[in-house]
Formats: sequence, C-alpha cells, structure tokens
Amino acid sequence: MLPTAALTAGRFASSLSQFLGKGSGEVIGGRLALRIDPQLLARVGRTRRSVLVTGTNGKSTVTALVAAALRARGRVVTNATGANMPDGIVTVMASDRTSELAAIEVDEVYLRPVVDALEPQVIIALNAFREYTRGVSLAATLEHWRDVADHLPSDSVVLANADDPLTMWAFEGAPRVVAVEGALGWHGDAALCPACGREHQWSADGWSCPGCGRRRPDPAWRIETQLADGTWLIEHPLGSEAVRVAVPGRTAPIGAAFALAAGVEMGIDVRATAEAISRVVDVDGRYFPFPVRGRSARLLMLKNPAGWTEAIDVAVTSGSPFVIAVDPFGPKDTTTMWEAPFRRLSGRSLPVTGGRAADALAVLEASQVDGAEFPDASDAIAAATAGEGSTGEVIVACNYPAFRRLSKQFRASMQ
Amino acid sequence: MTELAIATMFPLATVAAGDEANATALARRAQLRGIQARLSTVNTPGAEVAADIYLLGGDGLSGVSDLVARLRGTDLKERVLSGRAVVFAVDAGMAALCRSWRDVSGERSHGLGLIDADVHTGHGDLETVATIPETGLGLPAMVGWRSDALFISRRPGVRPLCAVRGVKTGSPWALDGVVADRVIATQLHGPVLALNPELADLVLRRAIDAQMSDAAPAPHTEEARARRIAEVAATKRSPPWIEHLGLPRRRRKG
Ligand SMILES: [Zn+2]
Repeated sequence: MLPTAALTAGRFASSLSQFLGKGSGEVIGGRLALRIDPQLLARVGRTRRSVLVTGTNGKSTVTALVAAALRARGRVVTNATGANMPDGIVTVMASDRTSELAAIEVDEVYLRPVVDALEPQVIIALNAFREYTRGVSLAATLEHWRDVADHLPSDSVVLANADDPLTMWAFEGAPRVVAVEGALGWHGDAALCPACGREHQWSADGWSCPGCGRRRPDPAWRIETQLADGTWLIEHPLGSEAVRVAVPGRTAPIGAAFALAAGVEMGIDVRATAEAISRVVDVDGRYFPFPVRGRSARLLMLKNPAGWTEAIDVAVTSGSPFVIAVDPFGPKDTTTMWEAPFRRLSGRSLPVTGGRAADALAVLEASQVDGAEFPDASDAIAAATAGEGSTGEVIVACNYPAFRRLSKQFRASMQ
Repeated sequence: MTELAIATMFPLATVAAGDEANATALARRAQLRGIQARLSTVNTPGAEVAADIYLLGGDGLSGVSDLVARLRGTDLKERVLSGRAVVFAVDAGMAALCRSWRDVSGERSHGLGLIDADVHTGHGDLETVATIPETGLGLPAMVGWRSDALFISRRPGVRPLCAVRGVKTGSPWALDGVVADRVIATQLHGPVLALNPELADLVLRRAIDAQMSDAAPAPHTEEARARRIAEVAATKRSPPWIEHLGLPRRRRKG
C-alpha cells in the first residue's frame, strides 16, 4: 500500500515551487510529504537495490557514473538534479515506482536516516572536507558516519576513499570496507589522525599515522594510467578495465573507479559496467562543454577550498583557459576562494564575471594574478587565453548560483 | 626584524569560517614593506611555537573548549603577556581568549584570560556587516560577516575594536571585538585581513617595532570592499552614522 494522499500533497507543492521558480521543486515537495508521513522514504524506496553516494566533494559526478553503471542491469532511479536530503530523495523515489535499482546521492550529514530507510547494498564514501556554509563541524560529520557504520545492513559494503584518512576512519566499523583509490588534492583538513590526534605523515605511499599506526590501505581498485587516446586504465582484483569519462582532471578516473566497483558489488559484469560508464556524456550539465562564441566551455561548481584547488590544478596541468564566475548568495559567497592557490595561474590574465566579480578580482590581486571584469559571461569566455599545451577548452570556475545561472543560460542558447 | 613568524593556531579544532586566508594576507602586507614572513599552521597540541603573530579563528562556540585546551599546551599566553607576540583572534578564537565562555547548555568554562570579558551564546544571525571608521586606530569603514552565535560582555576598561551595522537584522549598530596592546579580536569573519588591509596593518604595527612604510595601493580590494559596504548601506533603516561612510546615498524611487 502506497501512501497516496501524502505523495499527492507533496507533488502539488513540488509543482508550485517549480512555478514560483524556487529551484527544482523536489525539496519543497518532499519536505511536505515527509512531514505528513516520516516512514515514507522506507515505503517508496526500500524494495529497490540501492547504491548511496556521499562525501563533501564530487557526489553528483560519481552518482551519475554509478547510475550509468547500474543501467547495464536494469532501470535506475537517481536524483540527478542534486536534491540529496531525505525529503528530496522521497520525491525522486515517489516519481519512479517501477525501477528496481537506485543510485542516490546523499548529503553527508543526512546519511543515517537515508541508510535506515533504504537499507542500501553499497555505500560510496568519497571524502570529508570542512564545510563552509552550514556551520556543521567536520568532527560532527565524522561522528555521524561512525554511527552510520555501526548501523549498516550486515550484507552491505562501503567503498571508501583509501587516500582520505578521515573517511577510512569513519567507516572502520562497517561490516565490510573495500578501499578505492580516490585521491585527496587538499590535505589541510586531514592533517590530524581522528583516532589518536597525532599529525599524519604524507609520502609517495600516501598517509600514515605515527601515533596509532593507521596507514593508507592498498586500494582494491587503482587508477593505473591514462592511455594515449584519453581513456583511463583501472586496475582491480579481477584484472584491468579501460574507461572513457567525459570529465576533466582526476575526477574522471576516480569517479570511474568507484562506479566500476559499485557495479561489480551489485553483481554486474565488470566489462559491461565499463562500457556503460563510457557512454555517459553529461553529468547534470556539470561537465557538458557548452558551445559559446565558437569555444567549448566547461562549467565547474566549486564550494570549498578543496574544489577551487582542484579546478586550478586542472587549469595548470591541462593549460586550459580559465574563467571565474561568481554570483552573490549571502555573506560567505566568495569566502572559500581566498584559501585557494590562484598564484599558480600567475602570468595569465583571468576574465571574471558575475555579481561578485569585484571579490574575484580582489582575490586575484592578493595572489598577484591579473584579472579583468566582463559583465557578460560569453564575453569572458571569448576573452580567456590558453596556457601551454591547451586543447582550447575553457574551464569556467563557478560558485553555486553562478553555476545554476550559466548552465541555464547556455543550455537555453543551444536550443 | 629579519623574518616575521606567523602561526595559524589549531584551525581544525573549530568550525571553518574562511579565516585561514588571514595568514597569507598578513604575509603579503609585510612583504610590501620588505619584511619576509614565515607561515606555519599548528595542529598538534604541546608544540612550542615561537611566533611573532598568532592567528585564531573559527565560527561560533563549537570546538572552543578543545581550542582552549590545545592553546594551554603552548606558550602563546606567556609570549603575548611578556610582549614577545601579538594575537589576532576571530570569533571562536576570541571566545577562547576571554576570561570565560558559556555554551548553549549554560555551562561556564574558563578561557585563556587574555581578554577581560565573558562570552555567552548569541542569537546566531548571519549577516554581512560594515564597520564605522575608527580614526583613533587608523581604520576606515571595514567589511566582513558575523554569525553572532556568541555574545561578548566586556568588563570595564576593555576597549571594543569598532562598531558595526548589519544587512539582515538592520540593527542600528553594535560594538565589535576588542583591541588592547597585543591582543586584537573581532567577530568579523571571512578573509577579513585580506579585505581590510588597514586592519592587517594594525596587527603588523603591534608586532613590528620599526616604523612601517605605506603599502602599495590595492584598487581591486578597495572596490570589492566598497561594493559590499554599499550593500549594507543600501538597506532600509540606515542609522545617522552611515553618512560618515562617505558612500553614495541610495536614490528613492518615485
Ligand atoms: Zn593515529
């Protein structure tokens, strides 16, 4: 028996919020439905076999790749729009009652209620960085994950980032943990061992703790190399697999490794999983290169210093032209930019655009990097210049509202 | 002074608020005067850190007890009291330096006691704030954000750093922070020393004995700050002092 009245009420609010232009509508609809019946998520979701994806950075990308992997087996319900709190997940689940598989992105501080409701087969834990907008401490998130690990279904598996000591520690209590090479571009937040408080040591072999002896486990899924044609070779216990992912930087092979591992844990043939992943071209408009003034522009959404650091790294290593797009969304809207290493882009002149362009120029000034403001984003993209060895694709580094605005604008101009 | 040692103290103990950019901002202002700076981040308790400037940050009261415990394991207090170091503290860091602080449950704990004031839980409104110029300290109108998750009661004789006005609450103005000889504290968050170089210079002057030359202008930083202050000034209930900011007045429609 499905709770029809609650869902209908939720769906009405959902379309209302879409009409009012308040985001995707899923959050408002789901929140109302949950208020009516707190057991709703379990009732609309538990019959499916599900993979949950959590962590601070990269959830949407990995969720899209996992959804693609699962499609090799059957129909998949997924929250591709990023509504990743329990109420948003209710709405997504309620909108698709027939798919037997689920690939669900879960906000890292809401993992416990979602795990309890869905009893997932696989949990992917990507990373744990400090959070800048909600005032939730990293310690509180890690404690929450420890609690989740103690309450996972006994037949579930956690695919955890071998390179993040905080994530590995948080899921120590899980029934089964498989380590995946997930990288950690920003060590600042993982400086201290969460188990004993000593300072981690970092070497070519990864992290280790001189206090309690914890160290980076050998990952079962490893990123081997990038082949000449752009595909990545992922090594795993059964052999190795070539995967092509249309995502820039290290995000591509990392996401592919997690998605491959999830597919195999869900009982799908590894080769079929790799082929399904390689067919993904877009992740929520996140990496789709939009044609703008004869150039190809990729939008990246960045919300913490780790994200900005990775975007700058992609620009430096690929030589890609780099544009900054930042819009206002409250007092902290550009706070996270100040800790990122923009000085690595010195020698370039970076176009900046958006309602907080002045802040971006101030950040660049402090890093002794030249910048110029363009009121129109297309002008900024047209003005971006490439570094050495560039393929010419422009990276547009956005904060959240600028990402929303520009993806909508560029998508509309394509139609 | 050949090299200025700047230490960011225990940033992982508290909730992240973007205060860590303050270290690089200070170093840059020092370098503009030909003073090289050495930056370090201290995470492990018990270490002796011979810094000239200590930086403390964090948002609200979360993690303050941990921060205090870790600071007690260093010689920060002795170095500040004996005139060998200066400390600049933001919000949670300021609470850690006060005589005492009281959390949501009402339990009172002792801080380091470098600031003669007590802290208790505030209303937690998050907003961008602009400050009134403080000519005695050489500070212009500055900008930052406050979460007001803590409230400070200064004891007699303790001097506030400045007065602020916010966007959201429209509160007429409130006193902010503390300024003493070798202790400067504020509830202004974000890259506050980067966006307000005059405040960075105030911290530097307290740490460097020699006369400081004027720094090179930073036009983009000035512009970013001016735009944010204009947003605060454009809110409906501007108090009389807003005219002192020297900003263009918002035109009335109709
Ligand atoms: Zn340890």
